[in-house]
Amino acid sequence: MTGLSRRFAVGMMCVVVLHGAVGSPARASDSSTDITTGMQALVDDAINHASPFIVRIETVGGVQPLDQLLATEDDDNPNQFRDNPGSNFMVADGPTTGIIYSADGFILTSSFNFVRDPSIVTVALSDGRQMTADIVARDRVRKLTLLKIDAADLPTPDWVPNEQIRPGQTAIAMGMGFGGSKPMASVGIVSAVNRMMGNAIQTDAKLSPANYGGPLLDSSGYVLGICVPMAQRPGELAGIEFYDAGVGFAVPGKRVHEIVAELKEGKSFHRGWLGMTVDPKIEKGVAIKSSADPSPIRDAGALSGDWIVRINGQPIKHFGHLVKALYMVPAGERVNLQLLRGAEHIDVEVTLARSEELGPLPIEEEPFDPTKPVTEEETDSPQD
Amino acid sequence: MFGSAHVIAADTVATQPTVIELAERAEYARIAVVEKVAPSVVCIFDEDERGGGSGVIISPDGYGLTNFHVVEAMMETRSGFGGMSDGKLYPLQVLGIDPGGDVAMFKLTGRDPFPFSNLGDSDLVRVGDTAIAMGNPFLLSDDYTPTVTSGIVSGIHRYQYGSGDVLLYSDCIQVDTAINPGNSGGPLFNLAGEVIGINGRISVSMRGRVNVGMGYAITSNQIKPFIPGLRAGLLVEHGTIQATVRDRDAGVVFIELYEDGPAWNIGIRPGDVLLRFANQPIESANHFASVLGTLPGDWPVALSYRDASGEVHHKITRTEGVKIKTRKPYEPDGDVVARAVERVLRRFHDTLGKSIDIATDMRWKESHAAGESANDPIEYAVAASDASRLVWEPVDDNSGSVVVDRIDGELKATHNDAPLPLPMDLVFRARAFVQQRLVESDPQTSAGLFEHCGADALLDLDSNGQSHSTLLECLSASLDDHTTIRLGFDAAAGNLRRITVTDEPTREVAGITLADETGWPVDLDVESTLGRTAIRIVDRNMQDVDHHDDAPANTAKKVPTPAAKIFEDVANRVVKLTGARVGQSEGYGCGILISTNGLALTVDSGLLNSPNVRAHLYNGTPRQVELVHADRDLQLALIQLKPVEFSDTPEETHGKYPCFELNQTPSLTIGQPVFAGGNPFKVADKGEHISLSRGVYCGTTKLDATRGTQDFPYRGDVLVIDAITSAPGFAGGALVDGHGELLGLVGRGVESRFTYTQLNYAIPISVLSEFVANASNPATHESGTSTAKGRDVYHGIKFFELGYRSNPVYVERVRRGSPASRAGIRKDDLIIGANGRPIAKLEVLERIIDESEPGDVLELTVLRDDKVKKIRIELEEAK
Repeated sequence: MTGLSRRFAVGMMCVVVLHGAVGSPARASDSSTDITTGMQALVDDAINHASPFIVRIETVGGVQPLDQLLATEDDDNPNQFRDNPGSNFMVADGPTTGIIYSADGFILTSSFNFVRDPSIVTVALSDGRQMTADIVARDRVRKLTLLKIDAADLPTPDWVPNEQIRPGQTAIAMGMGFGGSKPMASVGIVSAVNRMMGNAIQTDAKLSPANYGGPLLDSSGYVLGICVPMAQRPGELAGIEFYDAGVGFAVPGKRVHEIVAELKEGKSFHRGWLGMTVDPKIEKGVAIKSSADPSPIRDAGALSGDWIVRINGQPIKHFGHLVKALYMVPAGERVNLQLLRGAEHIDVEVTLARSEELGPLPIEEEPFDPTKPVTEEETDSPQD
Repeated sequence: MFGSAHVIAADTVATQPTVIELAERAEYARIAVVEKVAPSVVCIFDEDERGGGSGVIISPDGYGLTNFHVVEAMMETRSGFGGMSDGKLYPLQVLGIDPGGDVAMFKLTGRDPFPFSNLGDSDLVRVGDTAIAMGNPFLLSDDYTPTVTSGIVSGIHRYQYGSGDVLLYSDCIQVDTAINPGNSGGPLFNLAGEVIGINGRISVSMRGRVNVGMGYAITSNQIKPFIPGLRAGLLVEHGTIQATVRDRDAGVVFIELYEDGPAWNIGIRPGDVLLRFANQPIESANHFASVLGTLPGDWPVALSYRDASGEVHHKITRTEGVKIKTRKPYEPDGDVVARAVERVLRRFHDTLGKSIDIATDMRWKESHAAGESANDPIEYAVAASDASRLVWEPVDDNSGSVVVDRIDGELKATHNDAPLPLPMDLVFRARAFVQQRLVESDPQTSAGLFEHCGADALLDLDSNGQSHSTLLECLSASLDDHTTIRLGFDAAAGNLRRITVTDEPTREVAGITLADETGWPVDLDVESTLGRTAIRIVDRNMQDVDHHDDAPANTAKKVPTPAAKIFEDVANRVVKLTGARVGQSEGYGCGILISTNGLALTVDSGLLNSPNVRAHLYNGTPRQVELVHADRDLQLALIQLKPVEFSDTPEETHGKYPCFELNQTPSLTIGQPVFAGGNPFKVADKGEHISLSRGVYCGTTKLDATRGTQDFPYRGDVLVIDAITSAPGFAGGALVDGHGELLGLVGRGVESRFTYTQLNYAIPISVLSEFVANASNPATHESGTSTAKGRDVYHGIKFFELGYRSNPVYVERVRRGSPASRAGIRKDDLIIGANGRPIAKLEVLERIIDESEPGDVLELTVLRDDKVKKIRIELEEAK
């Protein structure tokens, strides 16, 4: 069944449901007014369709994430915000959003909603019930979190198959974040279908902490994806700088199902590291300056002075390319590196590690110079 | 792209479609447009693939447009990469640049043909039209598929300052479509998939360089005249008339003029008032700058001004090019053949420019005749009205000549006897704007010469071989310095009669009446398929243009969209507040008119404390403002508009303001379309129109927010919307529904305590009408703060406090016999909610209790033994 006919089947159903209000035939003469009316009816129907499986999540306890606290202390850098957008964003403790993933009480939401590491999580269902929830597992890379509540026979959503998602189609983001008992809606379009290494679709619907973790719906109320903050860099809050700016992301159904299968088994995903530093003075190319012991890059046999020329086949022309190649790869996953040592190309396979698994870096030869400004590369350099 | 929409229609029902089906078709039409044009969008990268922007291909041979500021960093090598949605990177060469207007042309190689999009007519763009942007914001695209964002046109004829003479955005389109860094240079499409602009700029707030609902696109029509030069790899210049103007009470007044400049030479002196410029009545100095900025250098322009004696003059002059300073001398770099063609086009331009001179002002011709030949870079252009060979042009590096022939009425270009892949560039289109009047071809005299192309009297000649050849006769004939082109307009029949050539500025040629009823020729533009070239004949009788502007045909020009209708309603009822200084910068905001005698509602801000606040009506008429009543808790203010005595003309009598109705209860459905009208970033000056943004009504919530570091006093209901209204200057604007009915007043910029994000919201109409009712009641008028704190309440709970207020709210002790005790609150209960609001820290709960009255019920959500309980406490008065 094509997306077209499925959508129209739903559309025709809507007409029946809403006949009294908007089902009257449109006159061709004022069709643009009717389209507006029709859009309103369509969106209203989609929202009604989705509301039963949208939940409100409340958390108690926790603090601002550490990197935020550190970032906001960097008062010396007047361009801090420009250089590192989102770095001054404080995470609030208001209600957040999730959706029922399965009838037996699994709730899917965004890891953004738990960056404060709250001690207590509750879930309020659309029927008014509110109960405590356990965090089953978190994916800090794709920004998803799976919760479990003690409930059964819950309403579940329908997902739009990935191959049917098309740029330009209507996208409705739903969220509880501004308070109130009913979810709020923000409407936009699908901006792109393949972003963040295939982990996200992009939308211009206004996404923010008000709907992270909530569903992105099509105009039939089917779920296109789960709204999450994302940017092409690592970090749990990466992407928060884009809130409400018309650049939003949602993890689409296909990816969600793959990830949830692992989350259900209690497997969490963490940021993956190579465990090396690079020379910030080198502008073209990426050369290994030093590596932690142990670290994935060292264990793969890479030496200081080696150039990383390709990752998974993609050319690496500068440090930004390296970040882009790895920010979506969680610890435990493998990447193929092509190293250049002298004139020799060496292909190695590296399994990224969690930061806790990295050993210490060798002592830096250069003494620390407090007067020297810290460049982005240097602050970033231990990351990968 | 509408093909698929028709398929849908055929698939479903033969009967009348329902409104939902119409909406679905509209969605599918949008998807189809996106699919059709997205392949023409380019992700531009510099050679290192570090930075970049966006672009759009406009011809199958790979020519594309972008911003100058996107390619500026590439000017050293003039090379980079262009990624397209086929997933491939193509080599990119930077061709001509327009630093003044922030436009550049590039060429991709490696594919034949390239998918491309056509340039649309941006003069047809109206506020409220859907505007779709594509590009590569934040360089997010790994597979080079563009990011597609949709919104509406918020404003037209906008002017955005540049730095000095460069990067000016004149007469640009303002959109609420999400445009972000990286979108620069990318196309703005209309719903027909035509490029109506090149996105290049956004207004940003304190949040940093992200979209806040204000993007600006350079119009396609502004770019068109420059395209031949850009394509030829030149540094193209914008025009100036060597004069500055300022807004004065008398109007837009000339302040300084360079002697021998274009303005001076036609008799303008300091103090004269500019009335019209380039066929437009000039509303403000900003407006003049906006119109001027669209004109190339060396371009004929008509203007009207009033001199010190009060006499009105209508003149035509020619702009001078604004020289752009580049670090190194600019080396033209482009296709040499294209450059030759560009010179051909210039030749047409120059010749016709002179023909204007002949028709209007002999002195102008004399003063320029001497310098003309010396300045003329073209020495080889040849044209003969009776020859089939129109023009030939040697190419720079002895690689042959470009020859343009007329064969069977078609224009053919060859290069070294081989067909040139550019002949389409020389397929001229002539468009005549006959003062926006419906024009029909006159079968007797012009034998189908003109086809009328819509109600705006756009005459498109290239679709018809017959008319084409006739036009070319005119063009070739016009290459003689002493000829001119005239359009005949039969006033009695309302018909365009004839396009012809004359060597005398008479109105009678070969027995055919050439002149319109006023005796002057009308606009004639000549275009290549890539855009308009430099040929124009303009009406110099400005009074009669005014007359024609008011012609009934004008209103039937385009069926207004619902959004366009709403815009008219909103724009007339929102006033722009200016004049006060808030700190370092000029304060500004909005208000909405709520009575015919000039009462307006706005937000309570420091702006109103200034003695010289002005409210500008939609037409720019200023009014003094008197504060009638303000309520700090509601953050609302009622103001009275008063005439500004010294500048009011007698006919601007007081009263009969268009206004919103306050006493209605609009229905609200979550997700319904809403429109917000205001003046964010003071983008509209005086008579310039306000901005319109589209969004949806997200839902209603109680406001709990901060403004700066301060608590925001208003705690009532707000309508949350997803149009961005938190930008400075939007507050006090109108929020209306899809029928233009008022829903609320755009509130001041605040940060929600729930999310720590900027909230976009409006104060609902019910609160507004109650405020206005109270404002006219003297009893409440005096009290000022209506919800002053009453009596303290007693609940009997002692909360666990550790000196750190962000702790979870545990119950440390419950006083026996207290309301809390009776309700069943116990020691060690964790309070996680109160009155439906989540409670994560004590200060929030304390605020809720503080705002309660004795007798109120406090509904607490309590966590006990891992179970969530709801407990209702009846609050008592504290003793």
